[in-house]
Amino acid sequence: MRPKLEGSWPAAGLIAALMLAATSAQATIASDPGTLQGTTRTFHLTATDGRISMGDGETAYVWGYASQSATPGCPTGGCLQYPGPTLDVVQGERVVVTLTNRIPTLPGNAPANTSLLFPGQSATAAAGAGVQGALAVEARPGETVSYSFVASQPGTYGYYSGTRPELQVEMGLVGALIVRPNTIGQAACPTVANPSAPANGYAYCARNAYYDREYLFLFSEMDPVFHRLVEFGQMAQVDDTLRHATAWFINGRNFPDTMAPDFAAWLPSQPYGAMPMMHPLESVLMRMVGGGRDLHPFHTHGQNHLVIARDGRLLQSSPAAGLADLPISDYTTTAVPGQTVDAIWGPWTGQQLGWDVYGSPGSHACSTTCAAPPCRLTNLLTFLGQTGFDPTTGEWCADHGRPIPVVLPAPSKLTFGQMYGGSPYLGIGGEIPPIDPNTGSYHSNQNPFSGLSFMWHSHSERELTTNNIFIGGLATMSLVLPYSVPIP
Amino acid sequence: MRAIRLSACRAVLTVAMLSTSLPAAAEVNIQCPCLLSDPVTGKADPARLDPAKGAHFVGATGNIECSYRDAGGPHQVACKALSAGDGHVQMGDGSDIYVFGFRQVTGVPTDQVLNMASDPAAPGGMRGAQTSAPTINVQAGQELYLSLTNVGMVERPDLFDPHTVHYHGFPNASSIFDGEPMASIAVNMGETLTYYYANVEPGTYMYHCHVEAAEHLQMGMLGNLYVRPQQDGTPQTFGGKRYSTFAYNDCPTPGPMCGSTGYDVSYPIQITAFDPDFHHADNSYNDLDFAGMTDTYVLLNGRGYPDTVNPCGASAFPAPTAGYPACTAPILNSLGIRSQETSALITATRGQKVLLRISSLATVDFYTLTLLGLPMQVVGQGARQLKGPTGLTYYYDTHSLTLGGGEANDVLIDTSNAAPGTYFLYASNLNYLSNDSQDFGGVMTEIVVAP
Repeated sequence: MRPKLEGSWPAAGLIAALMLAATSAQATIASDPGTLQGTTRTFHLTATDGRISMGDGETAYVWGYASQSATPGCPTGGCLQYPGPTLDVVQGERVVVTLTNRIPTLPGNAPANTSLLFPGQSATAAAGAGVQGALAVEARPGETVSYSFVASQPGTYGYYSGTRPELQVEMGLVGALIVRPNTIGQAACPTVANPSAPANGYAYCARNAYYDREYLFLFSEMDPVFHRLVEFGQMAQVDDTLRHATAWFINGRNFPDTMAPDFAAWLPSQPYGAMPMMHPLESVLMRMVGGGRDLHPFHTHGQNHLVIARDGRLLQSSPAAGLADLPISDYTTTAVPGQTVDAIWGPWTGQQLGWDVYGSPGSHACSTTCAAPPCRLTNLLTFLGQTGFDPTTGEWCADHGRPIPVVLPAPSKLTFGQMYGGSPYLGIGGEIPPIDPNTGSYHSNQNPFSGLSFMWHSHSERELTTNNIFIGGLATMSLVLPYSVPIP
Repeated sequence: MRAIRLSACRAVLTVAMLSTSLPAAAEVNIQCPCLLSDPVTGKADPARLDPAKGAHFVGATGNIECSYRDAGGPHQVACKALSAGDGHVQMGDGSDIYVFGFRQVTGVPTDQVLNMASDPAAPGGMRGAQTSAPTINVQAGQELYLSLTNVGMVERPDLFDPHTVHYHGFPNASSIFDGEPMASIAVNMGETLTYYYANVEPGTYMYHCHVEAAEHLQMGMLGNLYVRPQQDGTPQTFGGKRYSTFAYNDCPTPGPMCGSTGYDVSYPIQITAFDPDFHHADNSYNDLDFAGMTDTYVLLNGRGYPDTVNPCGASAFPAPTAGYPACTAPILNSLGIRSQETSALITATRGQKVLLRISSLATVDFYTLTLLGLPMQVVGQGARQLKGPTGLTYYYDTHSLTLGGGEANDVLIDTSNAAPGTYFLYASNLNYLSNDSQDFGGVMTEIVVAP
């Protein structure tokens, strides 16, 4: 039961509200577009050191990448971040990444060379000063090396240090690379107008690679002892055989920080959130990257996700198939070190629950024809081949008006979670006792719009902790919101 | 041994403390449309099955099932009642381990559910944790009313933990019945919460308590859950053999793969694992070392070999008012209770096809199960047939399966060409073939093929 993390909730506070308020212009994955000149996209990364905040309130010394690109959290560019910037490119572009080694040689430590690896990309060329290492050309302290390749295949990839990676990746030198298809609009990937999610698209040109919203899930873990040894000039004492991870991350954050928005001001070195939000009938692309060295069985509450690609290649019988015809539908997918997986979660529809998830009978209407314009879902429903839904609210009409089949116990008999919407219904709140009778603590409603929330987390449940504090670690909450609530 | 035994006098003391900590208005309230109401209290009475709905107890599932029609249309209903609390289980080396867990209390009168499970006259659910938990077995099309009563932690009266059921993998879920406590509700001590699930997708799922999941899963609140397809009972011929039971609805339209998930006998096999130090820390009011969790009892259906092949408990659930049927050598915990009633022994007659519903709810490690001498054909994963959107099926043959926590596969074993005898299903992470420090045990069970 103990120790428990009560105190950090206010810090993470008002999560949904903040997420929605912190819109920024970005309506897609927070990423680094680099600089495009002709068909060459260039990124300037510096490997340096800094600190991150952990879910238990501690901080950790890390090495990480800083991009020259400005971001909402770093208007001048040059801020270290964990994980590294998500490099966002388009299929066919020539990608150039320069790497400058500014990893300080702390007193007592040996100088550290560093380099970059781009698994899944063929023929990476290196140029500039540097020395040939075992896996790549390395930049010695102060030097700059540039790497280039042609992003020939769309998909989700990782990148990480190729120099003493067993230490440097642990220290934080890891990031994600997204290659977007340049073939959208072809017959296999027709554009779909969804006014509620205009940044929709395809991970690949394949009908079942369609998404309304996309989120990055870069999984990693950390042994804080290694980080302290490096910080205190005892890098030579790092013994990989003794590594014992005690903190687990999504996008460089432990739960509940994973739910904070992108570029949250209080997490300056961890700019990437991991809280998927969607409306009913919208599909979420999960770009999963195994960024550590351990396996993590990642479980999505709510429903299965459909794995359509692995390591940037569609699961298909042949390219002529035109879609991922060998996908895996699962409720748990193992994140493998160095491997990437693209999966589609959803659409969540509320279909066949056996009761009206939009609330009590009479509170709303349901019509499968366009009774109440604007009928924003007509396009999406047609594309999905779904019938039986209200094209304005997304309600599945067959269950319309059915009462919830059981009587819920009185509030005094229950304990309520912070992400509980207040009622069984989507978009409808309810009364929650202000003080939890079990713990005596105030109830803090983190779900003011009464969305339906589902935890997505490592099912190695030990990993739901941060340095022995439950709850933390490799987890986040997804949130299905009613259409009355816009999602950035 | 590192076991720290709870002294008898402290156990008595804790029972006394618990009885004072239960809310005065504790209310066991089983909701089930198959039951008639008690004329005095107005609450559903588990002892009064509604004959008009054909309500009856089904020994194979441990459910009370019935069917009826109302304004919403026809209903096929299954009801199950579970208690959630603490107890003890016995490991393969004879050690007794303190656990949290569920117990089957379907049909137990409401005023009896809060009795001790060891009560000889009127057993209830208190201090009666079972691991693996009672298997939940329903058919697609059935609505499941699952009533969970929190009977408290008798040996940890300082804990006020609520409990939940998380139906792991339930498709298109609502938050209210998801059981993940942050997004939902959890039931306090002495109270009952009835979950409702309209089962649509057949397949192999699992269930567990999701409150303080790192602790409650490690402590044993987990069990098998599967949904049989609507296609059951409609015979299909595949490979020259006729089947009437299937893993999935493999014949939505006539085609060559109709009946390809057919089987003759089926068994759920769930991998779980215990760290005895963690359990003893929990039993002795100590801080819990999550990061240091090291599982040394790795189990199939809550048992380590050779207990896995003990047939006791393999048969049907006992009727609500009857005890478990006599058995040659039942696994009894230190309280004298049969706490591990899901056998992992697999038996078949030569020529039969066996369906194994293999899942893992281990909280730390991945495990690889290997089967010697018999081919395994994987036909399902994550409660879905291995079948794509264009109708391609991609079953595969293997002799090993690797599962992390929360993962499941459906495996067919064809014994047509098998010599009668005993075959071993075991972890090929060979270090786990032990019950803690006792060698030759752990993650292993037998498939016995009779002539």
